[in-house]
Parts: sequence; C-alpha cells; structure tokens
Amino acid sequence: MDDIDRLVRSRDRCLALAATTFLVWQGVSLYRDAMQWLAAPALPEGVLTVAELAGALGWVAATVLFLVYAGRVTKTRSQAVIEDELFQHHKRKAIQIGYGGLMLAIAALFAVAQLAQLPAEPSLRVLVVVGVCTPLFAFLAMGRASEGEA
Amino acid sequence: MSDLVALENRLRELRARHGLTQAQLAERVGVTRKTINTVENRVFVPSAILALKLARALDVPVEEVFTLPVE
Repeated sequence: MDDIDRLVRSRDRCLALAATTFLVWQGVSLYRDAMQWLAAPALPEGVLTVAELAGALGWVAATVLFLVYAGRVTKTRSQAVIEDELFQHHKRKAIQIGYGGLMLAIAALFAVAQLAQLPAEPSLRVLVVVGVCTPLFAFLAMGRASEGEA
Repeated sequence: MSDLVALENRLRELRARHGLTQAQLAERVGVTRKTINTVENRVFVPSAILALKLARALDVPVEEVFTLPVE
C-alpha cells in the first residue's frame, strides 16, 4: 500500500468517525426530545449523558484527526492526486444524495406537522443530522462500493 | 456506485502488457489507485483528459484503450 492509499484510508476513517459520532451525539439529544414530546419513559439520564458525551468527544477527536490528515496531505503535496476525478465524482454524488435526504426529511416533517405541532429545535436538529450525516455516509459507501477486484 | 456506462476498455490488459501495477499507472497519470481500479472494472468512466493521459502513459492511441461497444 503506498502513501496515497494510506492517506485515502486515513481520510475515510476520519469521515466515518465524524459521521458516526455526530449521529450518536445529536441522536441522543433527538431521542431525549422525542421521549419528552411523546411523554414516553426514556432510558436513564446517566446512560444518555454518557452516550452524548462519548459522541461529542468522538466528534472532536475526528475533527482533530482530520486536521492531522490535512497536514499530512499538505506535507506530501498529494492533494491533487487524492482529490482526483473519482473523488470529485463521489463528492458531487454525495452532495446530491444529501440534498435528496434533506428534501425527504423536510417533506416528512411537513407531513408530521399536519398531524401534530412539532417543536422547532428538534425539527431543526433532524435536518442538521440528515444534512451532515447523509452526504458523509453516502461518500463512504461509494468509496467502499468502488473497491472492486484489484 | 451505479455509473455503469457502456464504454469498453482494455486498460487492465494494456497495463499488464507494460508490467505496471495499478499504483504505478496511477502515479504516472496523477490519480489514486482506486480510480484506476474503477476504470478497469468499468465502474467509473474517466474524463477525456484522463483517458488521453492513460493512453499516453501506456504509449498507445486512446481508441486502443477505450472503445464504444458495437450496437
């Protein structure tokens, strides 16, 4: 495996960590809001706080790791190679998928709002989670799918 | 990825003839090994510029690497 392959894998790991931890971090808040809105019993607050904290710290760690990765890319002057046309193609498609996901989420929220009064903050949080996580997971999935026979 | 476009190529065969690995060919044309892999597997259709660079790296005319299938 050469340096470029290592950098690509490093980038993908950072993105996977960022997407997963962001989902956990914001997902716990959403779960808490949803349980409150539905007046349903939630998991113990201690469990939720630990999960939320783990998600937030993981996301900070992913951001730091991404900065380290960016520094390595600059040092090795390999940005043009790493961000080649396959990368650009995947990035465009990931953004398109993210846009589609956001439109679906907005439509779903509008549909639910016809039946019940939705609180603003959790609704916005849903859109943020979909907007951040969908393109990241789509990008990673396309990268994995394109790894075929060598 | 679902960009399976009808464009045939002999990249794998020509690369093997030159004794190059995917990583070596990738380095010659300035892309990642994954890009070469996806082109060889017909998952990704390269731009005209990349197609020309690949042909040049393999020292053959571009139409020898990429062809449209006979309809």
